[in-house]
Amino acid sequence: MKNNFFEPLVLENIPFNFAIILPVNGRDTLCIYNDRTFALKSYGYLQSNPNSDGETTFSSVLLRSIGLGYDENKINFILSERDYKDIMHVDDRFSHLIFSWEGVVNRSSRDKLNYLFNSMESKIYNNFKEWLKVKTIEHEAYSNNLAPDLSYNEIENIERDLEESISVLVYQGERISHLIKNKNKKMKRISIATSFIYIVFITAFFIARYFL
Amino acid sequence: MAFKYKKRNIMFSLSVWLYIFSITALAFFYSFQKDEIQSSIKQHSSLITLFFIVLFILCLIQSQFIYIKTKFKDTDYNKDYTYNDLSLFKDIVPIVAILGLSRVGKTTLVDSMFYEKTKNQRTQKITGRLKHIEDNKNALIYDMSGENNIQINDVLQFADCIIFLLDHNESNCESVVDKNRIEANIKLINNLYTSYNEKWRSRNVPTLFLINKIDLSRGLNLFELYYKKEIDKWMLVFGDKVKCMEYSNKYISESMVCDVNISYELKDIMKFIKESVCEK
Repeated sequence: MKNNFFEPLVLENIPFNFAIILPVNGRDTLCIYNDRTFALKSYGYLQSNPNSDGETTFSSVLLRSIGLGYDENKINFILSERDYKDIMHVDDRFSHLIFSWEGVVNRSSRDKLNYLFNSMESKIYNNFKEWLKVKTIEHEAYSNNLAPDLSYNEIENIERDLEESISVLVYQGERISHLIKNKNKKMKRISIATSFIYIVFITAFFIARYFL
Repeated sequence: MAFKYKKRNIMFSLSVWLYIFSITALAFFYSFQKDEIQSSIKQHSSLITLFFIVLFILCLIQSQFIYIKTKFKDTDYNKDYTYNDLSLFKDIVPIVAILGLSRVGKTTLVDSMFYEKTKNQRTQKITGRLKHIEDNKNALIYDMSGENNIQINDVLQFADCIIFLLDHNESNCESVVDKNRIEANIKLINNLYTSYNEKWRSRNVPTLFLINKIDLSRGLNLFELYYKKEIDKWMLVFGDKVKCMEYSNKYISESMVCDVNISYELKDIMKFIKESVCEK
């Protein structure tokens, strides 16, 4: 019987929430993440509401232009440009990889992240596949009460390589989110100041018109 | 052209914002102390009041209705429709849901309906495509991932017609009937009719059960042997307009590779869709 050992890779050193979903055993599976709770949240969100990006209305555009109407804890998804084979070779069909992260994003920055993810997707896929292969050897050896014939340096190298590639991606998402949040804060302050000046001006105008 | 009632926040409407701007502009003009402007406004005050009342009512109506085009261009037939479009097109364009377990052949069937060669790609999200049925009649064919019941249930709530694919074996090789696969199919039928929303129960949804991979079944009558009991229960929930057909995606795909006209193989399926949703 074919061994279907599987283990997700948890990269706890990356402090910002992300999850990468790859095709394993013929279905989308959480493979790389930093926090299981967030990963499950994003997985559930992906399964139940995959295409919902919210309605674009005149008021939503207006609110966003003054820094309001953004969901700061939104879970975002990016699909890979190419499609890939099942990691376990259970399914002969090809699937897209999915990268999800938490934060604020606008259309142009989403495109930038999409481009970045597309440039790294095959590296992430191949590295994870390699990591899982080594882990399977280790698991099989331990199951048979044998010492695994592998170099732990190899596992660490793959993990480090994956960590570095993904951290670039995640930090870009976080940086964009941080920039948008800062811009929104500034816009909110400007809106409040403008409204205050407008109220003072209108009050002064009416006092001047009717009482002086 | 069609307008659809969609209850939503009044401030989401463009016309309401236009109304606010126009009435603010009028108030601004009225605040001018020039005699000719004030006298002109006073002279036509009843007309202006009437105009704004009518405008206000129109804004209210516009805010609660959305415009949906029913005449489609070529680009509309080539694009992918999302889950959000389901609620938009519901009751305007008939929605056909292609249901079934993962690897049962849903996407291959949809590709065949659009005369396209199958891409050997897993469906990971809910995707719809517009299909011209006849004259001005169209239908939205929705495909989804068969891996989780959430996506299937989401589409099922909007479906005007269901094409339910069943099989007897997950693999493409000619082998014996896989009992686990049959049980998974039965469980899916059971889950769907038991979890079907009560408020929709009065609605009859015509269902075509396609027993796929018939080329691998070695002449077994899968309907009578395994699925008849569950399909009878399905009819209690979704109405008695249920049809069962044997089918083979493989024959269709092979015909497409050889560039053979496949229209007659799909004729029965398209006829069922036409009778179910377009001739209502």
